[in-house]
Amino acid sequence: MRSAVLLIALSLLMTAPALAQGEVIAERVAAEVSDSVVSINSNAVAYGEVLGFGGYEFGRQIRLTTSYITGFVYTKNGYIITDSQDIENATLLTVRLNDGKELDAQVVGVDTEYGVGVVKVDSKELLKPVKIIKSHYDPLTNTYPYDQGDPVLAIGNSGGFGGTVTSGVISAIRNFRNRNGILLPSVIQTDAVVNGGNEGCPLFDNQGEVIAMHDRRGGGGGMQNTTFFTPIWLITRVADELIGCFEQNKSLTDCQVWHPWLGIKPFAGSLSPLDGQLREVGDDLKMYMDIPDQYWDTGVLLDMVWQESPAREYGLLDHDMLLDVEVRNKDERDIVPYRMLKQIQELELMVTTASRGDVFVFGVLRNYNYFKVEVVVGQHPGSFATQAEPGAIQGFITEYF
Amino acid sequence: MKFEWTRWFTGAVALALLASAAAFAQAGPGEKTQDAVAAATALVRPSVVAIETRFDEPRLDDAYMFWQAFRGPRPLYGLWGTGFIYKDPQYVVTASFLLEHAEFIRVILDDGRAFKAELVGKNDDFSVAVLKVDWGPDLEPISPPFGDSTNIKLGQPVAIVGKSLNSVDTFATAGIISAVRKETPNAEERTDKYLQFDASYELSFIGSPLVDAKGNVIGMVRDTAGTNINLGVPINEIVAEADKIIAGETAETWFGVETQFITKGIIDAGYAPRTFDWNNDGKAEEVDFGKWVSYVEPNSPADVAGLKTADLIYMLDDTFIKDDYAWAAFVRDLKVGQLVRVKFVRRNETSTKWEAMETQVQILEKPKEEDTEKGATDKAKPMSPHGGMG
Amino acid sequence: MRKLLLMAAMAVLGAALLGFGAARAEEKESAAVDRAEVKKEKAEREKAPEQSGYAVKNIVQRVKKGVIRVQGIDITSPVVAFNPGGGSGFVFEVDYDTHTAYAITNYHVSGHAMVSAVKFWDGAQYRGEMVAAEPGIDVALLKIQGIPDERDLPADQKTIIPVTLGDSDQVRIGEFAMAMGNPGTEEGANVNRSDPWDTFLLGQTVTTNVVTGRDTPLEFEISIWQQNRTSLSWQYGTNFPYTFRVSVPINGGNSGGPLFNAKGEVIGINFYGGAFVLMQNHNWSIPINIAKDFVTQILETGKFERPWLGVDIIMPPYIKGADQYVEFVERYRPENIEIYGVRKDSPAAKLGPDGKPLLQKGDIILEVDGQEFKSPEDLRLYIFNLDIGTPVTLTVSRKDPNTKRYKKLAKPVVVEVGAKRKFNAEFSV
Repeated sequence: MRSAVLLIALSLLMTAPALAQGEVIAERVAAEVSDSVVSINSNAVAYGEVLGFGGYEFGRQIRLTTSYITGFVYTKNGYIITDSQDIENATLLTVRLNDGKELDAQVVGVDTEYGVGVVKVDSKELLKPVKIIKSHYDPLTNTYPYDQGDPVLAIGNSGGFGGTVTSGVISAIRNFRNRNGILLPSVIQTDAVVNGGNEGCPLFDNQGEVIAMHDRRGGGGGMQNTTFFTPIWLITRVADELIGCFEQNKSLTDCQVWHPWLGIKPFAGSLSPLDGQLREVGDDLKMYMDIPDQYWDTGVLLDMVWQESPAREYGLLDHDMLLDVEVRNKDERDIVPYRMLKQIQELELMVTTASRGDVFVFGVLRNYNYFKVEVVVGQHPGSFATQAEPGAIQGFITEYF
Repeated sequence: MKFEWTRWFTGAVALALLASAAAFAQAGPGEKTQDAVAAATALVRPSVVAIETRFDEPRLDDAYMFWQAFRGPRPLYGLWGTGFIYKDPQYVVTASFLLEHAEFIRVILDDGRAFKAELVGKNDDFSVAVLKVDWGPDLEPISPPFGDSTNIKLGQPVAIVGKSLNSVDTFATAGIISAVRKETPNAEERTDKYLQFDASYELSFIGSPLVDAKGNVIGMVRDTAGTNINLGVPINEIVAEADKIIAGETAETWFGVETQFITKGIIDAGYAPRTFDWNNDGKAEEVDFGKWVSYVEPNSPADVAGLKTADLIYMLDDTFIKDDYAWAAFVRDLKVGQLVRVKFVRRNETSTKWEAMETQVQILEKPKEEDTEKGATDKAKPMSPHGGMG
Repeated sequence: MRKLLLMAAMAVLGAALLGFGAARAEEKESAAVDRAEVKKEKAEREKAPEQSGYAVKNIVQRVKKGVIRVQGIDITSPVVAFNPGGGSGFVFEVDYDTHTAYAITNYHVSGHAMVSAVKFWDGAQYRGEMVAAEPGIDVALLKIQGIPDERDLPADQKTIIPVTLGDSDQVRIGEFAMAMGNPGTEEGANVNRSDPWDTFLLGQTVTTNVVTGRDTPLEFEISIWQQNRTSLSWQYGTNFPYTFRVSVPINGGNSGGPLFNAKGEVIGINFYGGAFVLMQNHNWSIPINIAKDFVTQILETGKFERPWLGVDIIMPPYIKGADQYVEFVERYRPENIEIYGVRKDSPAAKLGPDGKPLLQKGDIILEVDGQEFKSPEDLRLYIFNLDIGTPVTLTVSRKDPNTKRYKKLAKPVVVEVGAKRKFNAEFSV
């Protein structure tokens, strides 16, 4: 008994001063990760008025300012992840480390749909890579490894000031479209200050792990402290593929960053060919199509199926109604257990998070018949990884997914 | 046996608890300091004053367009901002910009009482101005606690305690130190360090104290360079300059060049050599040193000494300019009348070879800004992260 | 030897147990050894969360079930279709017996509509009826219908939990503040293909910083003018005691939403803001006390009144804009509290025993109830906090019509505090 009391008293004694003191995490994290965040100059020298060299007639306009975006060190040997913007057509790249050292860099690959670019520097010393959070959003249990309200740090080239550290909280975690219209799960919204130049900047949690990368600012930068970050699992998925292609010297046609798609266009939210207005599945339409009562609140009504797509290939037709779905991976493991489809969002997210070879087993309602159709998710036709070769990207069709 | 067992167990528990105590102390940037900003504000506000000036004549200069933005396109009668009581409480420190053309200066305490003040001196390069205030016989002004800016850490929570536009209300905003830099932020500055922080800024906060979580003043709010990209002078710099001003050593030196540290871009464009044997040891070294001259002020000491745009200065006396810090540290200690031996690289017009050259620059006292051509054209120049003034 | 081994084993076991506890410091559900100090920590957090460093996420978890999205429904418009507008609000009271809840939002969010669509954190939507609104303080009171009876459910299963209203007068400058609401942005459109505007408002957005300070009503108006450069119509006059200036980021759509302190109590209603490089995160909240007073009076008496004398001491009534005021103050720095005008039908205009109005234009107020006031603002706040019907004793100095010189009146003037019922956009006190 006495020992228990002693223990408890001791434990209280131990923790009280610790609670009162408190370590400031932002300082520790900033010190730890600053060396892993870099500035990337993707332009050649930006000139003002160059009046000629020979006569020393430069004038003050020749201040050779360079514009930087941000990147972070992914591997020790020099792969750096950044935004796809500005990297695409770069002819000359310089990476500036936290200590001021400048290194030449080459483009490894770019994926404009997900907004990811990878560059490589040739550094004599090993670089310090970031720590990346291991767990990510679990759609089955709807849990995240971080919470709304958690403190975060952003480090980047804010407004040209490289290595700027700003702090904030996770304002929200929501399903959100990235700047190219792809619906992503668990996009992080934060109120940490982010400015132009922060493209490619990482978002760190209290443990100093990267949880996301900058996608865009709200209102085109016009809103106060509203910035959206893409979860890091997607960024690294893309980066790994780009690096893989690069290291295997694969040609453009052989190498593709995985962009899963089925090729279906839901009726709701599509544009009417008659008047260009957004269409919705109203009661009159359901009546017209004679959809049974019990399915009025469920199901995804398709408008069209793209002619060269997995959906078409595996037998889905225009105006099919998808009532339920189950997703299995290529080893027959259940990824998403059988469920009724209530929202298009759900299905869209399942497609975004699908892996190569995943099978979508749909319960389809067509002409008063109900039957199963198995569709293997395929590669979106409009995306190809580039290896320092611009121009191969086609527009991403957001109407279809 | 029983008692000893307990002792060992207790010892083990205590050890493990020490470890867990550290874990219990985890807090995010805003959490433990939730109360800190309010406490720091309460501690510091009796020492924070509003500064109001009246010009010698109403002004419409571009330089004051920020203040005019708040009052419409009318002539400005004076400026307003914030300051704080110095270590020696008969003095108040504020931003030097507020004191330009000031004929009449007033400081207003937190409780609303106003006092006349005189300008003791200012140093624009460090943005510091010192005022002497006639507090009267009844008032004992309180200095705030002064911190030490050498240990400012990236990510450290800070707060601005400043005055509002009506010179009456005290305001506080909170953020963190975004960067501690050694580069000089624009051509005017000579500080070898400046603070960048994301605490919200507004115009009347110019000259406000920047305080840490404990309420120690660690800097002074100087300017903004973008949304929540706000700049401040570290307190150690302020104290060093304020002490000099109070002691009467206020002459500002004039070199006359605008420079930026060498970049690959400059070299790639052909305005500086890729390698150069700067120390004459027969080995040409990669050029990652030196300050590249982008502008020479007409009639300045540098101009008189023959320096020109595109010169790459790599030695000042015996100091090798290996980084911005080396340059700033040297230039900051210049004295009026000093003779500086400058070594630089210039491409020979005829032979087109890069040559080492040398000249002597006689440092003069900085003239009043209106009297220089640069001063007249320079006023509304936006901030850039590069460039430095010698 | 065995004793040593036993001790070592005990030590390792103890360390392991507590190391495990340490690793899960945030959860604290673990080893039996921790229980007492876990209990102590929990109690501490409940008591004074801000002292023990309560995490923002815990505040969020506690309050999110009371924060709502409010969308006024305009039935006069020909198409009662989508409206990407709307704002925020918060539920502060719940009545399970009648299946109703009371919520507050800004008048400019939904005060013009008799019915609003109210949506909660889980997407549940209810009908909210306008009970009362006062544009002069930008507050609207809604009554939400048809909420479920959750009284027997534990907190984590309830879908609606009212927020606690705090005391805005106790708020310290620099105190932690958290805003929660629904800022709108075009990026939020089309997340949901079935309802493209459903997520136009970024629901339940959390932002934090501190309460920056208190702006007098006049400073607030001048700041808006500085931000917008619109011809100001003195929107809110002196109807507020002050407004909180906050550097907590808020955007369009946050209006009507709550500002929380570290304890999770509502201290303000976010309603205005802007951000410019020279005025960063320049936002305002209405102090909750004035809203509490409004709600209490409306629910108890059906009307809303505030104390009023009817004198213009802040500025002459002829001043119609912020720029005029700024010029007025620059030229003429008032040393006294001068009465620039007396409002018609006000308590100050009542006729005294001599048949003349109690207070007149040009009078200088020297003392009120035996106290000297340093500024008109201080006097305004004093009167603001009096009860209606209180007699106020003023020592006044008046210009003698014959000598043209100011002379202190022999007898103090007693004015009974009246009721301000119309909350115009003017600055009388």
